[in-house]
Amino acid sequence: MTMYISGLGMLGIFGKGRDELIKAVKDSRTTESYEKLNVDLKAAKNKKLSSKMRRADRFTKMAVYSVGDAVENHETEEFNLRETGVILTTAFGPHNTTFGFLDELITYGEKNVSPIKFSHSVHNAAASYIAQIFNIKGPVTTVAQYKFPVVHAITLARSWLENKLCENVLVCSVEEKGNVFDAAVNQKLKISDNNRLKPINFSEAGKAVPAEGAVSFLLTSAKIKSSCCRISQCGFNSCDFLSTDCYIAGADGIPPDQTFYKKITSNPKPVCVFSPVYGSIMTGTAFDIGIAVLILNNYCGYNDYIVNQAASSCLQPKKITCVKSDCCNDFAAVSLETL
Amino acid sequence: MKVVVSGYGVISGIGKDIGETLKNFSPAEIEPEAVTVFDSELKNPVFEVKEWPAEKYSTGQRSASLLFHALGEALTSAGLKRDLKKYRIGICIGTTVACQLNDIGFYENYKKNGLIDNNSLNRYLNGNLAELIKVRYGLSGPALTVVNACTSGADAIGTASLWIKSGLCDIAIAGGADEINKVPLAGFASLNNMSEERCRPFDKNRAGLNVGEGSGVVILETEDHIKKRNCHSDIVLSGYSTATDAYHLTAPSPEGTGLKKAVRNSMKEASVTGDEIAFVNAHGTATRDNDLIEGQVIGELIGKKIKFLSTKGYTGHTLGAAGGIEAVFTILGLKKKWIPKSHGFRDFDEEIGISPVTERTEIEKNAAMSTSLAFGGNNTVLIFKRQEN
Repeated sequence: MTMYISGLGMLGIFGKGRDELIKAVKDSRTTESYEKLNVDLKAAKNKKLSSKMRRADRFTKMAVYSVGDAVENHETEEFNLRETGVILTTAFGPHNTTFGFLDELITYGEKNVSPIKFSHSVHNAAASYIAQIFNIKGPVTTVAQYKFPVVHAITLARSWLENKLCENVLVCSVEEKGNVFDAAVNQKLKISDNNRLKPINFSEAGKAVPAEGAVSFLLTSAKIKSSCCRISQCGFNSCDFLSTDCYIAGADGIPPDQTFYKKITSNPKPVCVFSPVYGSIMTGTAFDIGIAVLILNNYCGYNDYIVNQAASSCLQPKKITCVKSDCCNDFAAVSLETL
Repeated sequence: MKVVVSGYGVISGIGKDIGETLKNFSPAEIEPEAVTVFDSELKNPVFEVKEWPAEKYSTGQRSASLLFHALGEALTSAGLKRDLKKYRIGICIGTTVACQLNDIGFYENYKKNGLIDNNSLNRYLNGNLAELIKVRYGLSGPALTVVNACTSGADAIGTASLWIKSGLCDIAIAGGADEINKVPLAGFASLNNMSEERCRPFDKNRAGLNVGEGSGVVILETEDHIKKRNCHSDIVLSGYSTATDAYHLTAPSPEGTGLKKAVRNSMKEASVTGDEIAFVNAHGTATRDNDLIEGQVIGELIGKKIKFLSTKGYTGHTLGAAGGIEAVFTILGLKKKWIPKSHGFRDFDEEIGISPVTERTEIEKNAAMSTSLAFGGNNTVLIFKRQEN
């Protein structure tokens, strides 16, 4: 089943919204050029939405702001927001709130913890805020997955649409950064000491540059006015590698088995890597898809991000495939095409 | 396309397998007691899984251990104990605790010493339930962990059924698993939602829930596929719907908006009327708000004479596992043609307007509904049908 991306919202270390992402891509921003590797929530603040999130945590706010941008035209567009479904996907969820709750347990004891902290530490709190704030009454699901969280969410969205659970689906991917997780990543994987991300570097072990952000897509089963591209393929361990014009590889310094990336970069088609723009994020595929949408619609180019020397150039691609490999040489792929 | 239940397995405070569960449904004398799996200031009774065979327990991975225990029984009953790799199998598991790094020892160590305990971290990173199953059995289909609080297990089953209908897999392992953990225990206490005695779902004087733990797993597959394996199933998953209240983070909509929608849509998909439903296995947490709204919606949409029960009086509220465990109990009701009494219920609540069954009850009709509600306003309904051979 073909799905259309009919709304796109995002915030990351580069800023908020497609304009700031386009600028970051055009300016070849990289992780070492940012002052902070956190999302600037003050700059992203939207008064109308903020007033409904006084108690919400950072994770929820990122999710809601990205959804706000993805559905900004909903009052004038021909889609029914009320009958839309929501799939929130994350690897680690609102872990800072979980640790905040543990702080309360340690400091005040089991009988004196905050019910607000508890209810916000539940993984589906952010999705619940999205439903409440945007008055969405369709199915709402949160999934927590380390491997391919974004592609799993898009695959589920397609099943929802195919089985008519709802008319449209908002897929929202969110990941937050925090001290405990940074320390854990550093111990497990090693964090780059100069914030420099060197993906597709087969000669040395990769180093991560943990960052954070949220990306939301409005997926519709029919083409509507705001549709900007179509998802022609989405799945795991199978992909029509010959028919795409360009690849975006999700290599982000978190070391996978490199067999897949070696194979794909030996391909004559251009392979780009954009993770230096947004950082090492488990849900980074969502940023890659967002950037693919911008390239397909001619908002930005990709030449500066090509990583394979043998590449033949394609000035304006009509089809881009975003691929992500994991530590077991499994991969997930999403192909996007112009309308 | 028909999605059949070809196998099922369960473990909870009432029993470590199907046989023990059915046996203990009858006298129902297992009492909830104060938690023993960790030290706690809270003395509210809980339903722990006890007397667990040591060889079946992985240290520090209680939810996963519960899951694999139920999964083993489910695979055996589906005739799928060997050669799983040759099938296209998807995995969808619901949980709450297993996806959070809520290990107090780990966190205290980091806070005090700035140290990351690798054992705890590895347990967490290797503890994603769907991925664990995928790795252990070397499966190649989609693997997804659903974290919709207390509807997680039911949504995992519904999601798996959609995968099968969409052709993403031929067989799906689906259900839920959750362990008793200090975070939800203290969290529910902070919300004044925990009973000081056995919980009393739908009772006028209900005073909150008992936390429980366990796992319920079903094996789903297409009818064509089970025939190809020369196996048979008489249980069909014929309806799944989920809808949100968009009302409040912890309280259900007073009008039952999302639950009504999910009930109606699931009945439409299953092509059943209220009169054709044998019984409803309700979420029935014994909290004031949940039971009021759920009871009113069941009475309004299914009928005031419907036979219904909550099994929380036997298992406690097993959180992300509840939808999986209760799906298995619903299937058992259809297969055995009886349901146990709704344990803990004594006094009719006029505001709810309907009463659950107060004794073991024979059932005749062929369709049954399992409802699940959750924090965040999630409402999920599964309908199973027994088909005659």
